[in-house]
Amino acid sequence: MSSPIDGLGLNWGELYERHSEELARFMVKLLGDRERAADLVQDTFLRAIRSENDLREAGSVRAWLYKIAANLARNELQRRSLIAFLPFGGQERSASEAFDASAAQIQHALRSIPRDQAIALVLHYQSGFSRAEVASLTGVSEEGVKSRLARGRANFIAAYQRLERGFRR
Amino acid sequence: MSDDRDPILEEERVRALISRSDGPMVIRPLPPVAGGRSRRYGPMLSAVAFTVVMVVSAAIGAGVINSLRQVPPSPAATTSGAAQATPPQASSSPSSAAAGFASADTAAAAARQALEGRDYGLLLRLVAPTGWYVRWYEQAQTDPMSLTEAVNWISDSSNATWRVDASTVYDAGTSRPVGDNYVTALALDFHGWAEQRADILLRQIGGRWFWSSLLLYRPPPLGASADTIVGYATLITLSDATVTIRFRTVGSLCCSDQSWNDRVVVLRRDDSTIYNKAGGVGASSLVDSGATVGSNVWVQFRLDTLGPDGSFRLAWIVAMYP
Repeated sequence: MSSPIDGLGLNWGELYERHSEELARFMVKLLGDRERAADLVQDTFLRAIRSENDLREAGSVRAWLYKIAANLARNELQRRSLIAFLPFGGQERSASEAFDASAAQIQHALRSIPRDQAIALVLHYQSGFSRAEVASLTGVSEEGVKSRLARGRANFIAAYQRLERGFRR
Repeated sequence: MSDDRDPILEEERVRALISRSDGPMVIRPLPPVAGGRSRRYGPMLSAVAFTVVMVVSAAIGAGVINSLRQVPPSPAATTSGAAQATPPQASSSPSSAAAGFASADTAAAAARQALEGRDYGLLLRLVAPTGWYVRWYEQAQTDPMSLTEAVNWISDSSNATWRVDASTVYDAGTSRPVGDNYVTALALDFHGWAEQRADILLRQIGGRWFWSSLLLYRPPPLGASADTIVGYATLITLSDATVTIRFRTVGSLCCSDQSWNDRVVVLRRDDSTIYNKAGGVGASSLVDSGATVGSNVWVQFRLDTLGPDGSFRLAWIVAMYP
C-alpha cells in the first residue's frame, strides 16, 4: 500500500483514490458522522500536501496519512466530547437512508470510551496496523499501545453490552 | 464484564465488531491543488458539508444568482418581483445600499416571502453580506459563509418547503447565535431532514436589517433496522409506566416504516429507557427531557418487545424541540 517517497513525485490524485475510502471508514468508526468524515479526509490530504517534505520521515504514505487523520480525529472528538450522542452527531443523513442500529451502536460504544483507546482500537482492528505501527502513529511506546488496546477492549465491550441491553430489554 | 473472561475470545469479539462495515462512505473529490500545494482550502473545508452543497448547487445556484443580480430584487412588502421595481443602484452588489431592510419587521416579512416563495433574489438582499452561518442546536455550526455560499446553501434542497411565522419578532437575547431579533420557522424536507424547527436570526448592520444566522433544531433521523421502529410522534398521554404516542408525518415521512403513520402506540418505560432533551443532551427522566403531553417526540422501539397487552418496550425517547 505504500507509495514511493523518494523524490516526492507523488500523484495525490491517485493517492486520494487509493486511500480516501479507508480513511473515511476510520473517521466514521470514530466519529459516527459520514459528512464530517468526508470533510476530515479532505483535510487530511490537504495537510499532507502542505507538509509533503515531512513525508520523508514517515516510512509510508499510508502511515503518514493515518497519522494526520488520527490527530484530526482526536481533535474532533475532543471538540465534541460534551455533545457526543448517537442519533444526532451533526451529520446530515438522507431521510431514506437506512440507519444501521448495530453499526451505530459500535460507533457509540467507541465514542463512550477514552478517545486514545478508541483510536488505538480502530487503527489496530479495523485499519490493520500492528502494535508497533500504532505506537509510531500515535507517538507512544509499544507497551503503551498494548495497555491502551487492553483497556480499550474491556471498556469497549462493557460499553457495547450496556447499549445492547438497552436495545434488547 | 466478568473477571473470568477469555482474553482471546474478547479480542476476537472486539476485532469482529470494530471491523464491521459501516456501509457506504461519502467520498468527495480531492479539491484541485495546483502545483501540488495550496493554502486556500483550509477554511473552506471546515464548513460542515459545504463542499457537497457547492458542487451540487454550483451550476444552478451561481447561474440563478448571476442572473438575478442583473435585475434588482423586489422589496420585502411586494409579492412579485415585478410589482414594485427597486430604484437603480450604483452597484448591483447585494452589499450595496439596496441590500438589507429598514426594520426587523420588514426583514422578517422578507424572510417569509423569500423562503416560502423561493424568491432567491430576495434572499440575496436579505442574507448578511458576510459571516452568515448555521448552528445546529446544542451541536455543531458551520464556518461563516459568503453571501453566495449562504444563498446556495439555503436554496440547495429542491424539495424543501418552509413555513415562516413572521407575525412575531422576538428578542434574540444571548442564548442564540449572532442576531438581535429572530422569527420562528419550520423547514420540511430540508437538507435531507424531514422536519427541523428553525430560528431565523436578524441583525442590524450599518443601519439595515439582515438575516445573520440560522439556528436549526434537528431531531434524530428516521432510519432504522428491520426489527426496529423509529418515528416522529406526538406524546398523547403518559404515566409512570407508559407513554402513549401517535406517529405523525413531518415533511414527507413519519417513521422508518410508513405504515405506522397515524398509529397510536403504547410504550412501556423501564430503567433502561434512554431519555434525551432536544439537541441530544442527556436527560435522567422523561420530565427532565422536557417532553410532556402534546410534545413532539422521536421514539425508538423494537418490534420483538411486543407485550401481551399490546404495548412495546420504549428503548429511546427524545424531545424534538426545546
